[in-house]
Amino acid sequence: MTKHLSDFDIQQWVLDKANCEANIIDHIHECEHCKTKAETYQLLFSVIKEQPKPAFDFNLSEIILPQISPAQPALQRNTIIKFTIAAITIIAFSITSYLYKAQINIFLKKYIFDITSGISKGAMYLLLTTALTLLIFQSIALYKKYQQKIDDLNFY
Amino acid sequence: MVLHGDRNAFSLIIKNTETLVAQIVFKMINIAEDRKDIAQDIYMKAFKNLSGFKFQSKLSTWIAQISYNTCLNYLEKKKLVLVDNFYADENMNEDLLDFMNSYSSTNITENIIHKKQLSKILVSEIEMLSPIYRTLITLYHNEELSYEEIATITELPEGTVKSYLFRARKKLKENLLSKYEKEEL
Repeated sequence: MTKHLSDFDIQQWVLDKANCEANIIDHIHECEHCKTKAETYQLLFSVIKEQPKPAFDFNLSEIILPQISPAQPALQRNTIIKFTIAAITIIAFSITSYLYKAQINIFLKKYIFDITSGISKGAMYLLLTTALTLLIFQSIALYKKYQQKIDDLNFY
Repeated sequence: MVLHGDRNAFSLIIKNTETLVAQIVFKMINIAEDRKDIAQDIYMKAFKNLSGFKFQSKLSTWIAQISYNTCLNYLEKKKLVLVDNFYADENMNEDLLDFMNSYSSTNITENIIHKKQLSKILVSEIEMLSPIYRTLITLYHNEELSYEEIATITELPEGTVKSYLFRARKKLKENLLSKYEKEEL
């Protein structure tokens, strides 16, 4: 008789005989020591399986349902917040541009138009549009990442 | 339906998942007074995050995952031991083997009595395991979930789940038999 099976092999035999290696099956049939160990596990598992399932001693639905509000208004509230932030940003940007239009003109002439003087008007618009598009996509990605992190925090 | 404010639909979700949630909460939280708050917290989180449920698993598995994480956070806040370090003893006590041999040779009625006694001892022995082992044992043997489902719930690698379960079963078997023997004596 070879040495006895490990507890791991015996557990595997008890739980999944079909996928057990042939030498383990043969050993258990021949070895009283390992067979007894396997019976102990079988008994243990059957006793665990028969344990009554616990239940809360209160009505969960009665406690939870009054606390929940439909998610739709929450979504609407979220949308309102997003639009408010966007509107405030646009208004702030417009007011700043209007108030400092002289300085902005000087800045643009000095730093931007000088650089872009060699570029045609069409090419410059294309450049600005591309930059603006990239900025929008990056802002959306950043916002999504932020929202995901907030969701993860709420989840845990 | 739930997201559009159908409370009955959420009530149905509670009804269908309550047993699994109770299993996890009861196995992980020993303080009975705290279980009510934790159960509420679990379903409030489930409701708030329901729009983010991606159907990558069963809804019950997803809610069980929330339950497990909520209980884990609670235990971590209380600084309780989550996993025991078992002493790995591969050799079975010979006295226990003798006991099992005698158990096998007794008649059916005696076996039933033995089983009832074992069941009684088992309840207290399971309680003595660490919260994670208790939960894993219950989910696998009592709820009959697969290793994969348990891995999803606990967010542990499947190999770790198998390893924890192996150690928990072994510990449980040894504790159970030694205690049973003492009571017999």
